[in-house]
Amino acid sequence: MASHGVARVSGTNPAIRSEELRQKELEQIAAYNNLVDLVNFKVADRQYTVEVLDLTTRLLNENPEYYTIWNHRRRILLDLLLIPSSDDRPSTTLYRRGEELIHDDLQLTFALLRKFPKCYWIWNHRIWILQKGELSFNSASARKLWLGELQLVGKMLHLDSRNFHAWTYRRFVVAQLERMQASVTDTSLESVHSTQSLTESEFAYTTKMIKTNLSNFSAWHNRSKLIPMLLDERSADSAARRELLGDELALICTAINTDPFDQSIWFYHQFLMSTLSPKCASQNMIVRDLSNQDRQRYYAHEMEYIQDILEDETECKWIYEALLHCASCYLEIEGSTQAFTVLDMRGWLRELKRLDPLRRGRWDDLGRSLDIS
Amino acid sequence: MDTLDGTEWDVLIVGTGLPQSLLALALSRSGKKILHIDENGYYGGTEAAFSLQEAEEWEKHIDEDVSAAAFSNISITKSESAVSETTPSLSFSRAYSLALSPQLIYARSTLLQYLVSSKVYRQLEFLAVGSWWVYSAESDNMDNGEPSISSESGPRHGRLLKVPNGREDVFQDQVLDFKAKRALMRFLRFITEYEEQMEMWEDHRTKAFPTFLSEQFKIPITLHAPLLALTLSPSVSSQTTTEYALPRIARHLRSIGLFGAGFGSVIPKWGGMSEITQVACRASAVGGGVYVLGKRLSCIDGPTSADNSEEETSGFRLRLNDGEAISAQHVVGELSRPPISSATCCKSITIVSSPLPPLFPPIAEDAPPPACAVVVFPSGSLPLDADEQAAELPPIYIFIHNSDAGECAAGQSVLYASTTLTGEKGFQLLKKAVRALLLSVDVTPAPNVLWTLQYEQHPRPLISLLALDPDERPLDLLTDLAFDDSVLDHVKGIWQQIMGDSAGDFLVFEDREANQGDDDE
Repeated sequence: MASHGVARVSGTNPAIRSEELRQKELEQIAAYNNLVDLVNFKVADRQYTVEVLDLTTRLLNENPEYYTIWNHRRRILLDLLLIPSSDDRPSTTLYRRGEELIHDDLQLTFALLRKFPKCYWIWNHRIWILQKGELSFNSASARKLWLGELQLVGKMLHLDSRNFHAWTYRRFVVAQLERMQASVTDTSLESVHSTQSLTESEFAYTTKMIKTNLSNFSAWHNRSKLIPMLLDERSADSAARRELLGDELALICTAINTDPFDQSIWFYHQFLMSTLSPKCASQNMIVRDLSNQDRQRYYAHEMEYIQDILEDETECKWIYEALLHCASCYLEIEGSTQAFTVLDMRGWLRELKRLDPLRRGRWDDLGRSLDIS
Repeated sequence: MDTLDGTEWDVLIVGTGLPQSLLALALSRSGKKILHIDENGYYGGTEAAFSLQEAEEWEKHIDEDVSAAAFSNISITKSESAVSETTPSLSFSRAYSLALSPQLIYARSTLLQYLVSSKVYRQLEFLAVGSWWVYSAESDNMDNGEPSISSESGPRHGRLLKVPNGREDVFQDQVLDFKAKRALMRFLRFITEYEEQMEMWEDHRTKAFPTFLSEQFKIPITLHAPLLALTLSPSVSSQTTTEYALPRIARHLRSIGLFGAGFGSVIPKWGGMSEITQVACRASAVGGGVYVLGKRLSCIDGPTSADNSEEETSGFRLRLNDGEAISAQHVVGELSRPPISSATCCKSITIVSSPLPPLFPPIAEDAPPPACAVVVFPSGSLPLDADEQAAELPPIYIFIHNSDAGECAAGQSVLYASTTLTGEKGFQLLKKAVRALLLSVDVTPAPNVLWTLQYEQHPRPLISLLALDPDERPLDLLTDLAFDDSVLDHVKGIWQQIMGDSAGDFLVFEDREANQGDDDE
């Protein structure tokens, strides 16, 4: 199954199997089912022991998608983490044993993530483990734990920069790090400074990922999420905000001019356009003091350079869709304009229908809503 | 054995150039009795690599035997400048391993796959080829932000522009305007599946490639040079056809990213293809092949006569240069001797006192550091004389290997230059190009030329099996700057003829037990 043009590399799928191989597989299936039955039985029997934990490890190594087993594992771990030692040893032993269990599960999930980087349950379990770990560690170790996670997710993204699980996880880790710094000392200058730098560095990280591969939906998306925070942390005034907007529009203009066929670029363009709209919520606005005249100027500029591309490229549907969208935004602010006419809009709609006939219904609908059909 | 006289062989291979060595490798597990000889005192033939001393001996020796030689007009120039504490100088002879025929190997080349499947890859190291540059004659008047004051005192020089490797390079380029970017991107999109878009170029097949670019893609003339550079075409741009250019550009772009982000080709370490010839011959020797250097095939006495069988005679009686009479079932070499053919290209090897770091920017994050940079002087960028028609001159290609390649001392680099202009003019053009290159690189202190070797190269016939009634068309193997996979197809054909029905898979071997302990790269 291909995902957005990138082939998915799955396990081997032999079309022709020898009888020997088939027999072997049948044996493997039987063994697996036995293991499943065993685990389910023991858990139902509340045997929350290390032995059963190991059984779940075996099972999960074979099939990490079996989410019930992850639930069982967590039940067992909760129990193991709470058991006091049989003889009255000092609590450090308990602490160390807890540390071991957490460390083991981090290793397990890491190894599994290498093989199955897009399995929700592994990511969830890892988060659960980290949260449990944080509770039992002191704050310095906990912070190290989350910093380690940031490194891990960086590596995962290096292997596959478009893995949205990893991107979501990255945002989660960054949020944890920022939360920890906020709770340590609110007034310490150091923590304020380092909190700021995380957003800046994350923003720079998206720039780097985009420069490596323009088609990175998740990088563009992350960027859009970071911009409001970035502006707040910089205490950006109106001029600074306009500058950032200008820079982002220039960036996306270059990207569109380089590859108008790439969908992720247009998504980011739509995001930027949405921040211009008067309907945009104020916390999402980039520039907060836009006049209608400002808006019109932005829309007109966008439409101008996008129309220029039509000189060389007439087969790209995103261009026509973007023009219609910008035109309708423009018209909402001011009903009439010299920049383009209804005839222009009808022309763009026609091209859209020609290039993307499978979505004809959608384009007819668009025409009706724009009142140009 | 004391003498070869009277020995009988299954296969006699003449010459240890790359095709012959690959054949020897292919036969190394066959159990056949193989005698592999080379008239030189070194391995590699036309792909050999030399230390400084070996190069000097080669210069003296080769003039002795001019007939049908692969090389001619060899001369070495050593730097005359005074050696001081601060001036870097030539290191000892063995610090250098200079390749006579350096080539790029594209990531998709079957050569690499065969080196892996035959298990000899473990003895080889490959390094990444990094940035490609095109020389533009427009002089850069803002060197280091200061306008260059006079063009009388310093020589006029142009600048080197980096060739974009794909969409993201085009995106980040500061020089191209939007229209140019769009045109280039349209072409790049086309080239990824040009085989399925025949209608775009069918009519332009035999026409000049630059014309095709202008007419079909409206690519501005300033962008023709980088695209032509990627073809490594030896011809003048107007003589480079569309059907020649398209597959070569496609090969380049499709190879990028295969071994790592940002690069698409590699070079072998330690001296170009010579390392591969040595590894191949070594593997053949381990398999029982007998190697004798300084041995030449003098003449062919005739076919061996079958004793009593009715089978076709398939062997030959031969004589080697010291009079040894041998027989061999199959004989392989560059056997069809063409008449003394004129040289087809001029080459030079220049050792320079700087690693030229601006030409080796890092390829991409986590990509291996590049050991080779490619600089192309498109036709028309470098006139010989003031009134010369520069556009008629062929392009000049310069491969720069830094010391990571193991071919020169640390802190230095080797410039391998070639052009299809021959004779004295060819040598002049190469000198000019090397000088222009060194001037356009921003390095302090300015790099010096320490040592130069120049030579002309002649076309070689493809290797072939000796036959009683040979096909009288000696095919020429033009010296391509990138390894051509058809060499392997050719070797495979000969191997199949030798092996007959017991052929099996070409160049697919299991590890020998002795190699099990080697570390896997």
